[in-house]
Order: sequence, then C-alpha cells, then structure tokens
Amino acid sequence: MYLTNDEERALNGEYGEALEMAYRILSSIGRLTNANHLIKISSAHVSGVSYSTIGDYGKEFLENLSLNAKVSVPTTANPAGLDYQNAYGFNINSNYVSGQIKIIEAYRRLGVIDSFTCTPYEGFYLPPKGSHVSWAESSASIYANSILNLMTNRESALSALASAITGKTPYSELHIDELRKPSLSIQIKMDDFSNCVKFALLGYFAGRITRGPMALQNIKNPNPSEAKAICAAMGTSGASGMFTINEKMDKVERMDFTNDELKTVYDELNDAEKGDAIILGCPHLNVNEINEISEFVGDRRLNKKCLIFCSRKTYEEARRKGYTDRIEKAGAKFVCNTCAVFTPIISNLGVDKISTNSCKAAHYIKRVHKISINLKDVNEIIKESCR
Amino acid sequence: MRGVLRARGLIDGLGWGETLISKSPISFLEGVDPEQGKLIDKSHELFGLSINGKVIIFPHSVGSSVGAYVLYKLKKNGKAPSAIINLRSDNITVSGCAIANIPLVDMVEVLSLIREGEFIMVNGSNGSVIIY
Repeated sequence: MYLTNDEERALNGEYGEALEMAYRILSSIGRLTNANHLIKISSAHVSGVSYSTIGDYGKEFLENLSLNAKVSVPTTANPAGLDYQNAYGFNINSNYVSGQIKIIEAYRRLGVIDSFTCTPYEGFYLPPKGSHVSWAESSASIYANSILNLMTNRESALSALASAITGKTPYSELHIDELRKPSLSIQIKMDDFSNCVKFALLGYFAGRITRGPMALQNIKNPNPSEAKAICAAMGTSGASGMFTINEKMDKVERMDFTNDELKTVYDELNDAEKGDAIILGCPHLNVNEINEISEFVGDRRLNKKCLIFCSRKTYEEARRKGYTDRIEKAGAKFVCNTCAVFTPIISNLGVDKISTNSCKAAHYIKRVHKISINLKDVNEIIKESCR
Repeated sequence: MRGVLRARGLIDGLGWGETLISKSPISFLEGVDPEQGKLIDKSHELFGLSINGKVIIFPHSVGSSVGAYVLYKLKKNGKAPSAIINLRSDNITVSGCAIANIPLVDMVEVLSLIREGEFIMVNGSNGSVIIY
C-alpha cells in the first residue's frame, strides 16, 4: 500500500508512539484488504467500550493510549456496560463499576464525544452526505452505508480507533463505488410487511445470505425505526455492510423472502411464549420511539420489569418533551449510555425469559446470558404486559 | 540455509525462534493465558504449550475481537510470540499484532516446507520467511 512521506514518517515513529501504532494498524489492515492508499474521513465511531467485552486488557490498553493520543476527527463511542451515573440498584460489583468508569475516562481523554450510544447518527454528529467515515458497531456502519449516504467498512474497535486518531482509513471495499454494487437481490414476497420485527427478521435472514452488498426489492421504504431494525439484525447474523432499497437491478442472482423464510428465522430466535421482563432499545431508542412507547402505555401499569435503553442525551430530550413521565409511572426504567446486551444488568434481572422486539438482542442475550427470548413487536409486548 | 519463502508482509519487523504449528485456528480470548503465555484451551491441539518467544503458525484466529487485546497483554508481560504466520490472516490477528508490535505474515508459498520446532526467521517488512 502506498503511504505519503508524512504517513511513512508517522509509521516510523517520528510523531510518537500513538501515531506509530495507529498507522501500523491502518497499514496492516490496508494490506489485508488490498487497499492502494489511505483516504481522509469526516468522522469515526468506536466500539469496544463495555467492560463486559474488552475487560481489563482493553482497559489497560486504552488507559495507556489516552495518555499521549487524541482523536483528530469528530468521534462518537458505543454504549458502556453500565449507566455509571445511575448504577445503583442494579447490583453491579464495585470492580466492574471502577473498570467501566476507567474505560469511559480513557475515551474522554482521547477526545471522544460524550455519546456512548450505538445510534450516534441520532442526535450526535452527522457527517456530510457522501463522505467517507470509519464506523465500528455493525448496526451503525450498515445504517451509514444504506440509509445515511455515507461510506464505511465494517470497522473493528481498533481499526476505527486508529482512524479516529489519524483521520484516515484504507481505501478498500465499501469505500470504492464499484464495490458497493449489490450482487444479489432479495425479493420480499409478503403482502403485509410493516413492523419492526418483520424488518429485523428480514435483516437477520439477509445477513446470512451474502457477505457483500445486497438489494432489497418490493418493500416499502423503511422508517428510521424499521431501518435500525434491519441494520442491527443484518450486522448480527453476517458480514455484509450495506443494502439498497428498491433500486433497479439487472442480471444479479435473485432470492425470495416469503412467509416461510420469515417463520424459519423467527422460530430460531424465539424460544419462549412470554417474557418475565422486557428489554427495549437495541439499537438505542430515539425520542420519537420513546414517544410511541408512551402512547402505547397510556395510563396503564406494567406487571413486569421493563428496561429501556437509550443515550442520556435522548433521555433528557424525551423528558423535556414530557415523553418519559407515563413510561416511568408505568414502572419501566430508563438505562442510559448502556448496551442492552453486554451488561451485567441483564443477568442480574434474575429472569429466565425476556421479551424484546430486537433480533440483535434476541441473538446475543440467548448466547451471552443464557436467557430465553420472546420476540414480539413493541405494542404487542406492552399490551400483554399491562395490568 | 534451506531457503527463503515468499509471503505477504502484514506487520513490519523481524522475529525469529522455533516454530509451533497448529492446524486449527486459535481463539486468543478463550484460548491463551496472557500471564503465562500458554495455550489454556483444553480442546486445542496445542493445549499446555508455551508460545513465549516462538514463531506460531496457525490458519487464522477465531472468537471475540477482544482477542486483539490479549496479544497486547502478552507483549506487556514479556510472554508474546516473536512472530506469527497465518494461512490467511484476519482483522483480530492483524490489529492485535499491530498494537503489540509482533511481526506478521500470511499467504506463505509452500508453508508445508516449514517443520515443527525448527528455527526460522520472519520478516514482516519485505514479506519473507527464512528457514535455516
């Protein structure tokens, strides 16, 4: 891969250890993905924030790095493993709390925006349309490519961090126009295709079919909630980084998505009839989604524990608009800046079955916490869970 | 010297030592103890062996991407392999070797020429492996 004189000097350590390491990551990933050179990016989104995922090794790495490095482009960060401003009551041990706070502090020293959400495009930094970015968090990178008209590969925690520090990424794969053309189309053959769970099941199915970009055909334009549902599920089940909606395609391989495929995927993820607790907000909810829940709940009371995950910024805005009152009165609890999966909060709930509307949460909660899942649309979950 | 094999250089630098060859992939997070520098996955063919100072040869890594931080920790503890050779490398091994500064190559022509336990040198900068 070609490096400019300046990049070469950075790689040789002339600008300090942090840039040397960042360029070593980018140049090796560039070689791995056959990139010719590096290009400038307008933003980065880093993953690897939850203490549940990166642990003490990741914490030590970030603490060392943050002593002598800063991000050079607007950089948002994924959710943590706990809402440390509000961790009391979730029965989390002090070792975990301190490990998580140190990780968050390290990211702050690096200059990361106080975001801690998997949906940084809702309420945080939105880069100019058409620009190249470097986003980790599979659901966000697929959303960036497919909905926001941005260009990114599905980055890892370390490659996105290296890009955040250098402001560059290898010019490969989904940064190249020709490699963004779908080579497979999925025809949706269903009459009523209009809720988030169906969109998520489609995404989960589609993610397994191909590693490359795909064209979804004969489907209504997804609203933001439905788009988030497809992206999160697609990122969970496979390696593909983007899809198109109803774009005209000629001469590509075609597959059908019918009620049969939908049911097969549903049966795989759904293994409980009813949950003993409710998890919403995977990916994190936006203000409108919180308002919708408030409307569904009305003045009723929930008869089981319900946790709602969103960024603190979203929560504060929803609270100002009066959308959180009824939800909290109904007995639900908002958990801010926290991942709905990679957190001890889920296993500490002490339940065997969870209701959620998210295929991503279903997939990971089953595997990470060994809890059964009832997968349903949010209004149905609330309807069956109110006194 | 028996020969020089061409490879794809991924992480620059020179590393030498005796080889430790695995036919199955390695999960760094579950499979390697960074304090001892040993393979601790009981189901793995190299269970119990030390990777400290060795040139380890394996197809690619599997499992959590947090595995990259295990390579970093191995290096900090002075227990890291001196170089890594993959059949075809992956994001986890590449980024782990990048933060730990461990020379890495993959796609070695005639990898089968390299024998278990023999002393070799890996050059990640020009993409070559020297068998002595």
